[in-house]
Amino acid sequence: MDFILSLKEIVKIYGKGESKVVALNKVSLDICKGDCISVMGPSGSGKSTLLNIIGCMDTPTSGQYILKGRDVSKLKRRNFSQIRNRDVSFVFQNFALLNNYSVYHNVELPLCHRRMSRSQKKEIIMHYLDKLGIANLANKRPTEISGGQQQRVAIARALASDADIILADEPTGSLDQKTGQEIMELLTNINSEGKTIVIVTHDKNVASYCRRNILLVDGKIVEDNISKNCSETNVSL
Amino acid sequence: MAEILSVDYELFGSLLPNTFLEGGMPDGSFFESDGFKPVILGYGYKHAFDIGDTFISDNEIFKCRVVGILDKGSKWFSANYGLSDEIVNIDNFIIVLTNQPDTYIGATFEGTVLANNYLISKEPFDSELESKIGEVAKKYGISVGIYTFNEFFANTRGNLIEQYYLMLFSILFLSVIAVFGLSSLIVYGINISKREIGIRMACGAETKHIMRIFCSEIFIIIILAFFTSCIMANSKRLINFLMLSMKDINIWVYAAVLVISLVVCVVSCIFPIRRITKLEPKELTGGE
Repeated sequence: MDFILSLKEIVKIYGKGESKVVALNKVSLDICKGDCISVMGPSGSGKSTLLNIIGCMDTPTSGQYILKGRDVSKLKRRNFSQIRNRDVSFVFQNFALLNNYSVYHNVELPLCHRRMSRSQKKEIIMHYLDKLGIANLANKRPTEISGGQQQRVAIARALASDADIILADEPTGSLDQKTGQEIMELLTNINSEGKTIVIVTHDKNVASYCRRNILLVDGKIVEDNISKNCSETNVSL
Repeated sequence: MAEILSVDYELFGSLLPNTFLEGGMPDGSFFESDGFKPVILGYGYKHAFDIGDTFISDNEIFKCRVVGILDKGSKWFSANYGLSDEIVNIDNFIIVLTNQPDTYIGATFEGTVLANNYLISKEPFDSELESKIGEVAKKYGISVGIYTFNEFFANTRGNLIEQYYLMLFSILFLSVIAVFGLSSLIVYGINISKREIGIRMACGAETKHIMRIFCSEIFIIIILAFFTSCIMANSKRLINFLMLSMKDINIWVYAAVLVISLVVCVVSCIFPIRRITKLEPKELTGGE
């Protein structure tokens, strides 16, 4: 099986004693390379926690997480930074852009700590800004552009890191319906180029863009229209 | 107002290997001639006087004749207390040679020859000189200290060791205070930059990268403070350096201060940055 990541019996517990909250309860999940997955569920069902664990933004209480053949659960924090820089990238609901930096410098963030020349960085950044149709906004600040444009900047930043997996937490949550559709079409195009995309959403319309839909309730997967094997996923690209 | 160095001609001729652009050292017979004191001019006066020129001070205490002009970069002992261990450039000095076994520096032309309260006597200690100085001092109402070379150097050495430890203690004490001060500044900076740190960490920044950002910001503050204090503390030397090309600035002292500043900068950043980067990025971005 050509899984890009596998979660086995992942448990995440917040707090201790009586205030203990089980966010994920023995969640097991295999994701194929090039897949497009939506994770749905009511508030507090553990969707964002699952996404954060996949993105190495949080660590599970127990369980095993294998990313691109490496057991991430055994890695040190320092390696988590490298994974966030090279293997996974995020698109957030509120865009998570730095308002005191230009669009160009926001897209540059994942490249800041890589050994490459300024001209190489510029080439990559301008390529993705151009691809997403926002090259003319390179010198503007996030506060000077619309929500849809800000989300495009966030997607350009995610693409600039050249990560195989893009994790999107409610990517259309702060956008109107039309702009939301544009963003989803953009993410679908990116997926068709071979990137694996995991989207957390409340919106069934957003989920309808994905080939695989997972329903999470009370920290457990209760519904998953998984393909029989990864080759089916790849064929459908 | 000219800078005057009044010094015994034998001392001046023998202690430091200064060389002459023109003229040279007079011999003892010069002092018995016509009442003019022999003066040697620093390199800065080379266009103002020629050998043999004479001049008289404002209060007519000095009648001088130029006997030599020193080469550029000539040196003598600094400070107002006789022979210190610090050597300064005397390119803009007028060196008034005497046949008295004394040396002092910094008296002005309008002032008296006893502007400084130290006279250095040659070995063996000259009791005649002591009484002579006492008379002059009494006349001017000044208290004058007389030291032999050995006494002077012993005192100076003892003082230097004390000063050294005192300075070391001061550096350590001030560095610790600076670390606390800068750490507080960084903690404040972190609190208002939590979201940025979180986003940077989500994009793959490691502790060392965050550290680098804050260190560079703090280092800019330190450098600005360093240059401001240098300008304030050394304005006179700086003017000499810029206008007279005098290089009496000890670069190593400033290099050491810079290195200490850099260490203080890094040490003050380590603790608060390590503490903040132990948090998960999602905690820093407030679940954004």
